[in-house]
Amino acid sequence: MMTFPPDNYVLTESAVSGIEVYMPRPPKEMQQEVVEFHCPQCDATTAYSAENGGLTCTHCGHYEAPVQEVVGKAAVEFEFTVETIERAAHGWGIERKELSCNRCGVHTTIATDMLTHTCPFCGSNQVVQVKAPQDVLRPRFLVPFKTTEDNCRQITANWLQNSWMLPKDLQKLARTAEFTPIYIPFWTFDAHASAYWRAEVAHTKQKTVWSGGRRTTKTVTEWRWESGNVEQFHDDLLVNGSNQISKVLLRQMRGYDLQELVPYDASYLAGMQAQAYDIGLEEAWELGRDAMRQRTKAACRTQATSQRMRNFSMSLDFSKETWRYILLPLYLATYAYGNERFQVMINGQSGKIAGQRPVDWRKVIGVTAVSMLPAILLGLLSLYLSNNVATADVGVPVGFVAVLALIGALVFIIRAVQTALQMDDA
Amino acid sequence: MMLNTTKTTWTDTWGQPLTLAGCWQCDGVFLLPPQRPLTICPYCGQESLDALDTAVDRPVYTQPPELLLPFTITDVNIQENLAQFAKKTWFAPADLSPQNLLARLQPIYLPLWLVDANAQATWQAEMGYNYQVVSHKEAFQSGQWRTQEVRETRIRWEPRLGRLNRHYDNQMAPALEEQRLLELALGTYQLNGIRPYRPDDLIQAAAHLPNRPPADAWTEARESLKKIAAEECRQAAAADHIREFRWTADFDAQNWTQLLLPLYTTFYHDDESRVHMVFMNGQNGNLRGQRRASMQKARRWAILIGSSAVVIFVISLLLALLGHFREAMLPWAGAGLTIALLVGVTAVLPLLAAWYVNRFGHFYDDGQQALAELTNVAWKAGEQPPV
Ligand SMILES: [Zn+2]
Repeated sequence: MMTFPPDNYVLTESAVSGIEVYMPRPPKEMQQEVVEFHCPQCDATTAYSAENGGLTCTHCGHYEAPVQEVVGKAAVEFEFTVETIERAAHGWGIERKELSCNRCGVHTTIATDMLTHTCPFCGSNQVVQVKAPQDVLRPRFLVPFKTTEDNCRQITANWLQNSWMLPKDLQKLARTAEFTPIYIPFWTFDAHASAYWRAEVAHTKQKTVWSGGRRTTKTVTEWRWESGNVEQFHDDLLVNGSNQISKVLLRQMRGYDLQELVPYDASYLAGMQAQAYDIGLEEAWELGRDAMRQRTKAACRTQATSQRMRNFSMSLDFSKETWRYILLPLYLATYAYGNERFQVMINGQSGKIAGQRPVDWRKVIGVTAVSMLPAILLGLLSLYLSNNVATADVGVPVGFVAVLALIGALVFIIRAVQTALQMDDA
Repeated sequence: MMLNTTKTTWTDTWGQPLTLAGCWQCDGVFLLPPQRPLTICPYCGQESLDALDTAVDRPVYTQPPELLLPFTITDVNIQENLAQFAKKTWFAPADLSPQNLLARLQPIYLPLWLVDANAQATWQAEMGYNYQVVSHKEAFQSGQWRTQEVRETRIRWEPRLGRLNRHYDNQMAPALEEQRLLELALGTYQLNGIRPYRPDDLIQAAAHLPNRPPADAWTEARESLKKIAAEECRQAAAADHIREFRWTADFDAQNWTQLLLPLYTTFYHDDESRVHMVFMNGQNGNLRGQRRASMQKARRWAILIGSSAVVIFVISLLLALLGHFREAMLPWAGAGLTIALLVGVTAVLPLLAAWYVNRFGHFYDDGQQALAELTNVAWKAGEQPPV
């Protein structure tokens, strides 16, 4: 007979006397609440290095290989259980958290939604593994940083000089900009959507009619009922879990590859900033579902035989809904130009950049003014030629060309101003 | 050995002078009231009872019963049930009458084991816990989305194991080989009316002695104990479902008692004078009888209908002849012929119905099938008595 109970089982409650119940030992809670990172060689602070994917010492360069295990999109997804939704609604409890640095003993308090902390006195990196309202509600997966700070400077420098509308001295700033690596909370959602739609769809038709004793044709619109079914799987729809980051910039910079998801490990966060979600599961799922609804609706509408329709209605059932809570890497930088501060974001995985750039409006106005010149000159020439009898014949085509040049210039100006406005207030 | 006129036997422990008898048709062994004639077997209705010698023909178990479930059905109910049965049988044989059934009614007690045991076991199982997930149904109409939240219950399976040390009282185990069939045919008995056995219980009724000794019935008892233990473990783990229950159990402090269950039997004869049994649960009156139609009766009906068809046919022919002279008669003749044909065809129906009852009546439901098995397989009905 086997030894009883087996190693990995623990005694649990029983509701019947004379019966003992053992259950599998529950997985260990997140080990330490605060993990600190020190070099085993020189005891200086270590931090995660995007360059080689491990921990490196800031002092002696000692390198610790990472716990590499990429799970990608196979990362576990969770169901929308009533229990999780209720627990998620409770949030993080206390507002701030007391933290004492193991190195210098200094006490600090940090916000509970901060997952990391760097001691302001001794500079040691700490990862705070605050107890989540439910175990599934702590970050389980993340995409590690791949872009280094040096890459960021290069990317920013290129980005600041790739347009003639920007001031010439701007690119110098890139060399001095400070990039803060930060993990942003995201929710990913999966769901299967089965939809049924129905609408009146317009069809134009040529009809022969008699009017005033004559046969003529007339175009008429006929409305016909059409309907259809759409089965669609929404895979890993990303919804931002943080209120603190500019949503506009975030949208421009998206494009994370979730194939590089790895299981959460504190060392990935060493030396980085990291935030816990402040847009809860239910709120995020609301947003996610809205995006899914729009997508499925668009898919339904494309099924119609004509895009002109009325009385469109549809029903949509979601099933197999699952979610994940993940962290995605991002660099944040702000730089000052003139009296203004501008924000830049760089995707920590792909290096895609988004941000505001100060537009040199004098330059823009100058260039647009110059772009009008050919049209004005041609116009004047045409006027002059038309006044002269000998050359009146040439005047008309020149005038025509002038008008074309004017239209071209206007188009150019509108587009330039549009781009400039976009750069300015992204 | 001493010659003793007042011979003491094990039947004395039953507290009443009783006759030991055996049936060579159904292999049943009975204790009968001494004044009861040894003719018809109270269990299979055949004339195949023989007196047995209590010293020579020792049954598998001879201890008197401890408990008994009394006959509780009233006389009125008995008569109603028998009348119902007789009425509802198609083309019933002449012998199948409520009067005959009532006259041949015999009370008999069937044995059942009740076992008490202590179980010490280690067990393992997968426990299912219900949980709810939230899903959504959406509708888009007149430019607006309407959302409806739907909750769905799912089961999370988790492994559990443990130890068990429990005492089980009065677990039923079969004392007759055919227990399962009896249960199917008669339904289960409710044990809340149970009381201690008294010797005068057997003044009127016969007792069927067990044909399975406790050791043999223990395998079944173990199975039912396992089911009970599984259910108790589910409760212990506060689970909603259980599956894959396995246990390694040791039992001690086993205590076997015999319980007697009340049954009425009666029978009727078919055209060929074969016996067909009717059983009635003595507690609740559940009746289960073999249905047998009389082909003679069916044939009489068939002939009656057939001959009326012939009469109509002949009349129609006459009308047709008349039609030669008066054309107005022809449609009547045609109609007559059609009716004759239809009636002629219906003449087959009684025969078909009777044949159907005799051929497929056993397959009507599980209980009917069990009864057929009981009467045909268990005691070789229809076999001729050995000369
Ligand atoms: Zn018999």
